[in-house]
Amino acid sequence: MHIENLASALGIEVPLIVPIILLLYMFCMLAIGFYAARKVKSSGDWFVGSREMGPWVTALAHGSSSLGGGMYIAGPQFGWEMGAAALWAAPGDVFGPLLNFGIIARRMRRFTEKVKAFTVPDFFASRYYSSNVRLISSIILLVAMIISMVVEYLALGVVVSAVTGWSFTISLILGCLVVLVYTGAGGYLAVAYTDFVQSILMVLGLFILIPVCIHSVGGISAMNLGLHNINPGLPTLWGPDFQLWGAPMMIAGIALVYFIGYMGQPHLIIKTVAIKDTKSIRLVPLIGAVFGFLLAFGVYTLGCVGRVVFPELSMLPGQNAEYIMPMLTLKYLNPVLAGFLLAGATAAIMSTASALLLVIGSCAGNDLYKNIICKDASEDQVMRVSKISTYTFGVVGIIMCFMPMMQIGIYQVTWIAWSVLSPAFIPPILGGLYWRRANKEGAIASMLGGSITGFVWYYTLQTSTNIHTFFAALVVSVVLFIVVSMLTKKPPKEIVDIVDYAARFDDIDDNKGKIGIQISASDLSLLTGK
Amino acid sequence: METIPNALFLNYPLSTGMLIIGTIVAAAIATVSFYYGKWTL
Repeated sequence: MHIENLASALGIEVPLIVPIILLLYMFCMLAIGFYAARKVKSSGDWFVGSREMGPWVTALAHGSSSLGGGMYIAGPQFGWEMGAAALWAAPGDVFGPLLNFGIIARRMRRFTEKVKAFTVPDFFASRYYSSNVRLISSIILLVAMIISMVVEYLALGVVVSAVTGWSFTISLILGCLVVLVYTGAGGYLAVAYTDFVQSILMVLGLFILIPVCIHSVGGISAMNLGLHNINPGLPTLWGPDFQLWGAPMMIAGIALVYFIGYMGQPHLIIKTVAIKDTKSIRLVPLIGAVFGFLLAFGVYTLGCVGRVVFPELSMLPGQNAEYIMPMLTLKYLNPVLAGFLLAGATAAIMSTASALLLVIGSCAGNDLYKNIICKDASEDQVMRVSKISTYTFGVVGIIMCFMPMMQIGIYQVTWIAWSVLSPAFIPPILGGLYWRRANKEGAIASMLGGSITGFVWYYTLQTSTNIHTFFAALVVSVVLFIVVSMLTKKPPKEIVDIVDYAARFDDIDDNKGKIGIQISASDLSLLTGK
Repeated sequence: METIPNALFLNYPLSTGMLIIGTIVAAAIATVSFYYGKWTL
């Protein structure tokens, strides 16, 4: 249940300057979006920024896109519930950029440029030479991304209402409309530029809030002692009442969902497609690891502080731990500073929401419209359909926020989205880049098996088996991918040639237009008759 | 001040302290070595 007015629930009066700060911030984001829109000349610019993004913009955009509302609101909530055991999920955010840019980026960048692919389903359709793979991956992607987007919208409603004192409904709609407009106008460039600004705000916000909150409870030692006194399991990695002790499969799931889960998230993988060159790829994991460490360990620690300050659920408005971060901000900081910091939280959420919207728009315009519905579509038509889809699905997301099935809590919805999507996409992405034998039958089996297992396991078997949904879905997906690929026929030689080309070590820039194999996604379709 | 039994530092229990230190050390080695081109995939 969401509180219509958090400030009133806490007995705090929000000065007029606070909503003014937030509105100014939103105006700046819109201005950046329209500035980026002026630089968009083609659908390639809109989808992937013409593959010219540098390491800092890419690293911070990757970080802020992954650590959005799910992190700012659900992270402290998880920390409040589990104590230090929430930290099992933190290393994933430190190593996630390394996995995406150390393992996937170089080959993905080369492969997608070679076949002129702009989106993850584009990559699947080329690598697995099948429009069926494109269709299936697009549907799974759209469902999971829309669910993820709803998470961000809900989080946006929580934070904006806390900052402004406006109702949850009005706050949610206003915040969502701003994201929709700047993403639709400027595409990838707008998302990357706003992400860059927003990530700086995120870090600054947490850098002020976390030390202030820790100081207010007497320091880190006192925080740990306070957790110990509430429940001896809370400061340990085993959770309240040591419930994770002897549950390795549950721990593996919590750790892996935000660890290798990074490699199955299209809104993050797309950053590897858009990066400029090999040199940039090498710097991204270093920047990303520092950023991820500060933010991930920071938000879970914030949840632990919140548990010490508000030890009982009954002390929280609506008995909802989602409000921990805005509550601590409003409790310990003066209202103007709180306004700025919550604008940072708004930034984090908007950053992720815009990245998700872009992927949804690209998928609808490029993958479904251009490659399945209307293959003769011009570049202008594709871009127009992508923009219209962005706005349409954005509005659908707002409506979905008010559906009962989305009221189970931001943290739970985040886990469903990651546990369904990542297991379905990790084997086809990794296998597509590293395993020459991987074929379309294996990819389809893996995507369907992984996503269906994710949904079914979460609602039926996770609690009784103590095996995390992500872990179960990933095992099913990997096994299906390998077994079905081995039992069916090999991929065509033309595909294997491109996989080999993507694996080569010569620099990306040196190869523009010089390589022997010139083959596009549509050529591949003709070639294989699919 | 009162302390938690077997705390590693700042009253962090052994398990939590090891996770934090281990993450910092492993991430530093992996990302710096990747930046200098010591490994690539």
